[in-house]
Amino acid sequence: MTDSNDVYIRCRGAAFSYNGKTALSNVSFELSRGDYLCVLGENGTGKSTLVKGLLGLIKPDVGTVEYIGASRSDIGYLPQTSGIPSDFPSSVYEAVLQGQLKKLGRRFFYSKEDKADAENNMRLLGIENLKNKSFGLLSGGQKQRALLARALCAANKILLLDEPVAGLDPLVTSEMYEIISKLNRERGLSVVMVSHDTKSAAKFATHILHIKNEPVFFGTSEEYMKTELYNEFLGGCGHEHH
Amino acid sequence: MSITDIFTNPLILSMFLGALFIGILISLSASLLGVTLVLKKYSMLGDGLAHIGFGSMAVAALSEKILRNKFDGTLGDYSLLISVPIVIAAAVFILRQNEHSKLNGDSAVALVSTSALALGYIIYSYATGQASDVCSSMFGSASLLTPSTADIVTTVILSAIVISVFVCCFNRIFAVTFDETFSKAIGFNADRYKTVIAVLIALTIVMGMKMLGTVMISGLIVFPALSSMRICRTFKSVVVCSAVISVICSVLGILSAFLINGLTIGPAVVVVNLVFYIALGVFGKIKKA
Ligand SMILES: Nc1ncnc2c1ncn2[C@@H]1O[C@H](COP(=O)(O)OP(=O)(O)OP(=O)(O)O)[C@@H](O)[C@H]1O
Ligand SMILES: [Mg+2]
Repeated sequence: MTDSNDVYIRCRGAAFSYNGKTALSNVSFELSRGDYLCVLGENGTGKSTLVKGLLGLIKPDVGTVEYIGASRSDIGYLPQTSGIPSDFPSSVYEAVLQGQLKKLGRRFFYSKEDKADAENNMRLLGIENLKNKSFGLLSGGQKQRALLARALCAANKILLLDEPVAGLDPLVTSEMYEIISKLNRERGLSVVMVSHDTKSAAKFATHILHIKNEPVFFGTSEEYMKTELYNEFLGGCGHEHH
Repeated sequence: MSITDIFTNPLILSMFLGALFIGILISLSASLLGVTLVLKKYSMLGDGLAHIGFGSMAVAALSEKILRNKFDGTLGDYSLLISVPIVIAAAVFILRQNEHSKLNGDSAVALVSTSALALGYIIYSYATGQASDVCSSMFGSASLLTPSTADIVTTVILSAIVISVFVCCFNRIFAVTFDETFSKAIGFNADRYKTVIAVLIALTIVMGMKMLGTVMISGLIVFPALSSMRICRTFKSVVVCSAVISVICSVLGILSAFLINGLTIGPAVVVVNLVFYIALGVFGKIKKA
């Protein structure tokens, strides 16, 4: 049923390594238009590595990462840690506007639409009142929202989020899930989200990719809920409640 | 000398205006790029490149000596033709180091610059046989001279390139400075703009070397940025403020070099910058309190 242009990214047997040490191997999956893919797995199992590989920040040793119906300029990215020093002089607005970078094309300066778009995304994430605040002085959660707004600016077709709700309070977390889900439904954005929250993942995502240095599961979330992996997790949760 | 001397003696006036004109253009260029260098933790790059510039001037002096002996004719000042490519190559090499090597930027600067300084000193002494020449190229001309037409033309052209490219690429330079990884992740060619930044820095260094001296030019690059970061909190305001501070400091520095006997422009400008840095630090603290 899927037309070949509906496939945005196709990974075939991709493996990634750092200084010759393999971190993630044998990755094969497809991301299509409108997909909401959650990447699950324990700490250090290669989730962020996969994200960097999809972005082309690291190159696969073997296998391929292919862009088909989308290009690298269609991606918005929220890094797990941004590495922006807290004393960097930048307003929140300047930070968010960086997401419009690729829209410059051959122009030197941002157009009115570019700026309005950035402001809309700030409003969507409820940070329009922080516009002129110093980015470095924001709280962790506020920073996360600003960086998500920046990612939204860049996301034409795909939104890649590496642990977007880490460090957010429960209320904001569920709000964030709603926003992401809404973007997925209404703007038709494909979402790739790294998460440790298995329950919400299964609830919101259409597809799950579970990795342990290589994929141990890839399929729809309904299928995932029938697997050992999911039951193991639920069992673990149930255990904690006792 | 007194203020009235400057404005009544036409010779001194033309020297003063020439120095002011060149000084303002150089300080504008330096202050704009300084913001990016300081924020990318490349504060010492200016210093390192200036040492390389010193080395390249030594090479120019040596080749001039050899050519003079051979042709026995008067050669124009072509040291720029040698300095510009050498300093650009070094700037690109150092700024793009961290992408694919085990040598980090800081060590690369130290390594390349001391070697250039040492070699440059040896070549210089051999080529000119005078230590005073070395001193003046490190701290700027000891004697105040009317800048030559060639100096003025070079400075105007180079600073026009640096300032206009910086203004036009402002958003891209911000992107590379603020978060290079994100820029790359969304498909932006960050490496290309790092090269652009490197070339602009190299041009600024070459411009400033003669007037301020190779040891002093680095102060002109980092001081205004550090000063403005004490009072401004957005990138744009830091850039604008740093340009304003830099021009004010250069004017005051050049003026005092004319008024106070034996003071050279390079150190004078740097000391005025230091005073501003301290004063703005105090001002920033008071404002916060
Ligand atoms: N820059 C790097 N250099 C060397 N090794 C790295 C680097 N980044 C990650 N690794 C290694 O690669 C493996 C996978 O790391 P990765 O960051 O992909 O894990 P992750 O699944 O995202 O973990 P977490 O849940 O903690 O974010 C780890 O063993 C890690 O030590
Ligand atoms: Mg990770």
